[in-house]
Amino acid sequence: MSGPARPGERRIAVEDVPALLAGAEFYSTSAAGEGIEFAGLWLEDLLAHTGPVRLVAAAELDPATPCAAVGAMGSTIAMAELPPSGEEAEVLARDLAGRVGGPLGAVMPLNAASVNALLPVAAAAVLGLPLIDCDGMGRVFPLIHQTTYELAGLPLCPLAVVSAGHDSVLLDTGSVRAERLARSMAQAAGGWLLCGLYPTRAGELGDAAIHGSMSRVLEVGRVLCGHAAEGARREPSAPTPGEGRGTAPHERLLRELVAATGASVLGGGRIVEIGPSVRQAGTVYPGNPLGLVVNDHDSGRLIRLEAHNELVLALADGALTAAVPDLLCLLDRGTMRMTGPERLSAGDQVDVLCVPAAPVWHGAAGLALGGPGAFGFPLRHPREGGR
Amino acid sequence: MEGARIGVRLAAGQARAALVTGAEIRHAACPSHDDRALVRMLRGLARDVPVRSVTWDVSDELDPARAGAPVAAVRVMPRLPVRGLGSGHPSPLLRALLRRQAAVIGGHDVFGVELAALDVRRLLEHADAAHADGTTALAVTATGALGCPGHELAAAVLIRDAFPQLRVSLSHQVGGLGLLDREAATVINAALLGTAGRVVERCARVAARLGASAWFVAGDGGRISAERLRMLPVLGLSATGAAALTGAARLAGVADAVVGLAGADGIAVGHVRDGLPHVATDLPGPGGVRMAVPQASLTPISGAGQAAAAVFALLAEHDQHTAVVAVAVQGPEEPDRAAGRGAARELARAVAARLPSASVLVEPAAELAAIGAACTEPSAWLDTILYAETSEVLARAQAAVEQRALTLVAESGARLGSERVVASRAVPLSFLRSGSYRLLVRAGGRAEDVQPSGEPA
Repeated sequence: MSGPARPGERRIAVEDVPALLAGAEFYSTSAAGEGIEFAGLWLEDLLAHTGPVRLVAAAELDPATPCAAVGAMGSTIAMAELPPSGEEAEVLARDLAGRVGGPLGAVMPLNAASVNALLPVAAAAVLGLPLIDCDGMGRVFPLIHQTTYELAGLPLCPLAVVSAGHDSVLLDTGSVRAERLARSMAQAAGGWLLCGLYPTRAGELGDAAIHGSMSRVLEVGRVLCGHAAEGARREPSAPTPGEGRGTAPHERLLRELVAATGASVLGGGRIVEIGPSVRQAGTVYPGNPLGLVVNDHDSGRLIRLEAHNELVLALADGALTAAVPDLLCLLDRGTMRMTGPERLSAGDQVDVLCVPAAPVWHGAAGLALGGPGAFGFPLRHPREGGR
Repeated sequence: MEGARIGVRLAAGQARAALVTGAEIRHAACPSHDDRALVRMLRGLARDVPVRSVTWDVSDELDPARAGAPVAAVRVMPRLPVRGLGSGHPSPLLRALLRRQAAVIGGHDVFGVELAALDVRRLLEHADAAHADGTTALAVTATGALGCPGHELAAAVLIRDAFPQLRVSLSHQVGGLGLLDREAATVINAALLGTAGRVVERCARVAARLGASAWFVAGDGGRISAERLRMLPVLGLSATGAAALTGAARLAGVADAVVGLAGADGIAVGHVRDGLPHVATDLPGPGGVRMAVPQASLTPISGAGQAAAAVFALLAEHDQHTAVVAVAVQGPEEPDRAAGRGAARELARAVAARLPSASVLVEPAAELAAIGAACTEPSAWLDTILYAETSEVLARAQAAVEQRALTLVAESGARLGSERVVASRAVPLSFLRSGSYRLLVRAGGRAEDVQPSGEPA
């Protein structure tokens, strides 16, 4: 879209991309956000061609507006090596239009995190459509049907997929089977696919989506970018009497992130162990399990983090303290950036944050679809303690 | 004393040199444009000591904004962007270096499976157009080239056969994973081929006058051969910070350290592990361009005096290794640098006053980067993706990649038997089939001209 913004109109433009990227890294739960900087360069160039994208609440649209979720499945590293051409969304929109009785009127993110916070913006820009300020995960989940759209009963199919080589398929089947079939295709098609799924009407998104997701990503991203820009130029805060030390830059950033996201800090310190998990990989999930242990600097506790694509569990001295669907995020004290296992080595220093998932994920159905049990852990989520 | 090593930093029209012996550092400086003055200075530095090697930090000479020539770039992809969406690079540097940019069909996936056959006809059309408009170098970047470089190698053969005057840079030889970053590195590499050839030839000529071999500091803090820098000049960028980290740790007498390099207006913080600077591949390089090429990780802490000192002290407090703070501005012989050196020294001392007693303050008598260049050792870094169904297969594949890294170290002049794997990580790749790994290997060695004790001979 082009021309000046109308009063009250919200837009995502080229200058918003750095914040979008930083926020997308934060919500990627430490694994899937790694190496997505290429997508920022790519989106900036694309928005420079197309102009900004209008960001709207679902309630602002005519309830009959046809819309569909857009997001990628597969590997971000594979995508960094084989970037989209920018025109994949046109293939999805064409394929879905033939099945939903007309052209799409809006796009919503499958999940506003990692590279999938950026791709729906690109899709909306290329298609000239508004982007709905919501998503279906509020984080990264490994499977495309682990969504609040699914919890609300929206059908995932027809699922339109397209590869970087523009191989395209339209799948009509159940959610679980669609995920498995598309995953196989992603592996063969270069490591990733762009998906158009959950075709629906804007009026159906009321209880089915996590609203305001894109705004939250941008807000957190601005905190991170603001800190990076101001960052080390600031003086450490004044030491308290008798304390003899000020506040380190990472402590200031943690405070700002906690204020912006409602996160809690589980601890922070040196990584003393990182490597393949002793756990066997499940057959449902891509990727391999991985574990890392952080020696909490203040308490001396050992915080064990289990990852399977993204971080899924945190145990402090053996006791479960946080678990999926809540978000576990790592801040690298050295670089002051969000980070994850692919970037880390033993000896690096990190802080561990836990961000509460959207409330819908803490219900029985949400935990069944996205809780520890869904990842093969026979554990009750910490929030299930009273039930 | 036999077989001493000299380090030289060429920057801003000056050559600053250091000869490092076990306990003594000699230093000298002269204008860098005059070969005879350079030889005279290095001979004066050596005096009665035979010099085995001269290691040069030429990153300033290779600044692509000044030294780069316009090039053409060809990207090899399984599908061409119809409207050119997302194919541009926001960097003014890259836009200035790119005379023409094109894409042709071809490429592989990350595991090396061909996604599309290489469009040879279009490739040669683009090469012809580049040749016709007087472009002298071409950067070829194929998707998946790290998994299978076949299309890049085929492109190089075809282009060299048809246009022998065109020099070709291939992305799989230049950088790691990530097409856009690797393409940026390949373009910068191609742009520097001409300058690098001249710089390398000159440095080798000067070193030969001393009867010494010529080596070059790489951005990852290792040293590379003249032939490797001539072909891959991008590896020589950002070498000054890496050399300074090496020099600071060496002067402090530690192999592992958190190092603060004090300048006139702030501190840059880096880490040294096992004598080698900690590196990353996602750092901004020249002109802010990320290049998927390893370079020493340096975090700037701006601000003078107590503020910067307090921040470094807090960082050092959280680090298990020795804290080293070093004055990183040299050249008191030049009036315009004397003030900067004074400020840097003041800052370094303010930082040291806040550090524990086990910390080390380094106030070198010579240019820190030149000292580091003299102490630089051979190293290699590899980044690749592989598929392994079992842990045994993974271990075998990892050992093979480690062997490749050790071979590269040997080719950089390591003494036989001194090669070692410094770090080797197999990281499971997210959201790909189980058994997909990214392998990151770093290896190092001791230069042939160093005695087994590790001290310069």
